[in-house]
Amino acid sequence: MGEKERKESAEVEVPVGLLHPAMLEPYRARFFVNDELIVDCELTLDPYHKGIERIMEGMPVEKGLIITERICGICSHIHLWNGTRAVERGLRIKVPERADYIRVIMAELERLHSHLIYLAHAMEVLGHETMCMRAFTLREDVMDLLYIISGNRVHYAVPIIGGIRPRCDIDEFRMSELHNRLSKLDIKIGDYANRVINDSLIMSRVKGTGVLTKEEAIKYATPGPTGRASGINIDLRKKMKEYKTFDFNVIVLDDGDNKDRVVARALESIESVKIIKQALESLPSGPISDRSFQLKEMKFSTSYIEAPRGEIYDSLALDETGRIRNYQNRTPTLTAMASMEIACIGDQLTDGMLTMASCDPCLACTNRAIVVENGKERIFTEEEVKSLIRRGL
Amino acid sequence: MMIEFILATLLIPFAALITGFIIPGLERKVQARIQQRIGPPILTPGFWAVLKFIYKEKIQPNSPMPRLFHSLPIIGVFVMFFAVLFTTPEWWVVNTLGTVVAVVGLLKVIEFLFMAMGSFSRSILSVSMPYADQVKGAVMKGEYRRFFEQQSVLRAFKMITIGSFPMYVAMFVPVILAKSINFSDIVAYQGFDSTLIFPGGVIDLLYLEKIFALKPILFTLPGLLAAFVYFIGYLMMLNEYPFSIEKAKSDVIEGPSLEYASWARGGYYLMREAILFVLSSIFITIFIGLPPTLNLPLLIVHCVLCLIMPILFSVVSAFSPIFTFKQVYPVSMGFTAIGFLAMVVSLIMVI
Repeated sequence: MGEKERKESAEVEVPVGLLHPAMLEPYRARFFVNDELIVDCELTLDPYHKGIERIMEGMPVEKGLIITERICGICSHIHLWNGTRAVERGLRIKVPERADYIRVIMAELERLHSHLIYLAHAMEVLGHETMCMRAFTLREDVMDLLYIISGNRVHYAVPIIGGIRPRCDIDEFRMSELHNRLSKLDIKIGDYANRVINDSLIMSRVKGTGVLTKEEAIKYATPGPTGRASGINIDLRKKMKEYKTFDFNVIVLDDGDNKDRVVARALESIESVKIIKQALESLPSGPISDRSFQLKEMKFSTSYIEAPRGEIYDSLALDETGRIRNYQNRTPTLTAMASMEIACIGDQLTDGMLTMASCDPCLACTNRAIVVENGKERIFTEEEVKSLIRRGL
Repeated sequence: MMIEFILATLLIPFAALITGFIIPGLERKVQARIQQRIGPPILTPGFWAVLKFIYKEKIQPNSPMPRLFHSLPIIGVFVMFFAVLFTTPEWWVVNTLGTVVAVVGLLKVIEFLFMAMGSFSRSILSVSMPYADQVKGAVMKGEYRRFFEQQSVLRAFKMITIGSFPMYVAMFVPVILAKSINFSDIVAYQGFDSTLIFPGGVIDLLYLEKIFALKPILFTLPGLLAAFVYFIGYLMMLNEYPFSIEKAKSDVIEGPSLEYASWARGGYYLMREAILFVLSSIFITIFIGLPPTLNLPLLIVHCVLCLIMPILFSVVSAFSPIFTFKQVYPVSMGFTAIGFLAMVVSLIMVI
């Protein structure tokens, strides 16, 4: 399939957002349509700025890292883990094996949690309320597991530099709870995936819509399960030392349509359960953290990790007092959404919104900005920011 | 006769209203149970919600003709009020009103009302959103910008042309079998003797026996086919899942009714309840042969039977995604074809 042509004119423009019930988070989509068919699309992803990177500048590293968890309410653990990982790599801190296992368990539970929200949202945009509710019901079980380990449902605060927090260790009670609940969850997720895949009404909507070819996915650097649904065989977990002991499949599909993006996440959820089970069965004994390190000046250190939506990049440096300098964070939604601009061309308008949702956008992660002028960081006043937004810059 | 005519004019729409209050709650309850939720109390969505909206602060809609826009649901309620009356035996004495054609005409008005609502609505959620994005580097600049409601008007127009076929085709199967467009002849064909109602008075329990003596068209082959087609047409006419493209939440949000708030939203809910009742009532009248009458037991049975179709539609809706026109066209064509088949079978039976 060749690259989609972007036409030069359309009958009308249908602008959608910033506020819209089908958008979990604020972005602006301008659909250029002929009758009901999308001939072009333009997305604006940056209406809001949280300024996380600016807030973290100069903060003590352990205090600052907690803020990375606030980047996203769904994949909060993975942001904290990656930030912590960047520091551990920079300061050459060795993390105990048990801590790595528990970090992996949390990350995979979070992936389950994220993918189930995705499935629920996809079904909601499809208009299938029942399957949406069932995905949310399944998600509750995962939230319970996250709560059992960390004591929280959203911001778990598990990793610390050198390991994990003592309250998040997996004792015998937690172990048996996790085993019992996971065995049921495995079956439930499998049943749910089967039900979705075998529902001809759902398939009639998702099959063949929002097609993103492998070439387009490579061109737009489509990350994570969205890219893998278009045939890109990249999963950072296969390269991470923390995942080396686990046996799991990377789900790669070829059609690149909305169906594949939904199915890829459903199948990945089953793989995540597999990883968690393996981690629980072979959970090593020993310490959960090594806090014997000394904070010192650290040159620019980077870390990449496979979050539920794709690659996350974190980089930072520390000054001689252990304060954060030049923290940067890049999340997968930016490129995933950009590729949906091209994927929705040729679809019905209603399917266009489904295509947007199918890449699992997370604007909370994405919207950050630092402005540098003449080598110096510039802080905007509230009025200046409003003026920029008004001018669409 | 005149007293019964006046009583029917007042009491039967009142019964329709009471039933209408229950239907949305029932619909939501069934869907909630399928989704393993408790769901709202039965009267909340249909009655308390309407009452609540009537007492809410009045909000001026963003519309070029706000008064007309606000009056459209009320017009819809009145149109449905007459549609109920046209199916009552007490009104059949008025020439040409108690016919299938007259009711089809009123349903067409309702279809048009949805288009009118969308045309007069300008929600802030689309074009009017205060966000300056036209200066961005899009290939297309200065294209005409369409409101969600205008998009839903186009969809309503398509649904009028393609979506209403199944229902109207199905409605004419009993007409062919009874060889008449009059409701009186259609119910008489099924064994309902309308002349017996008047001397029977308001309460005549013995008349319930007559119900079991009915020979509904529903239980014939063309009737069964037509009933199936009518049900699909019913979903299309109501713009409910899976045929709710006109008000698809994923893009046009609520479609034509997006700007209705406070008492006007209450009026819109009332209109929807009235349509829900009327379409069920027409089905019971022409396919089972039991019209809404002044005879209280018969009226209660009629109203209870009117709850069956909303329950069925709740079940279907709970398991369906929204269809785009890619799916709506073939589904509508297919069921229209089944409807024509039912008509051909009826013609063969009549000949």
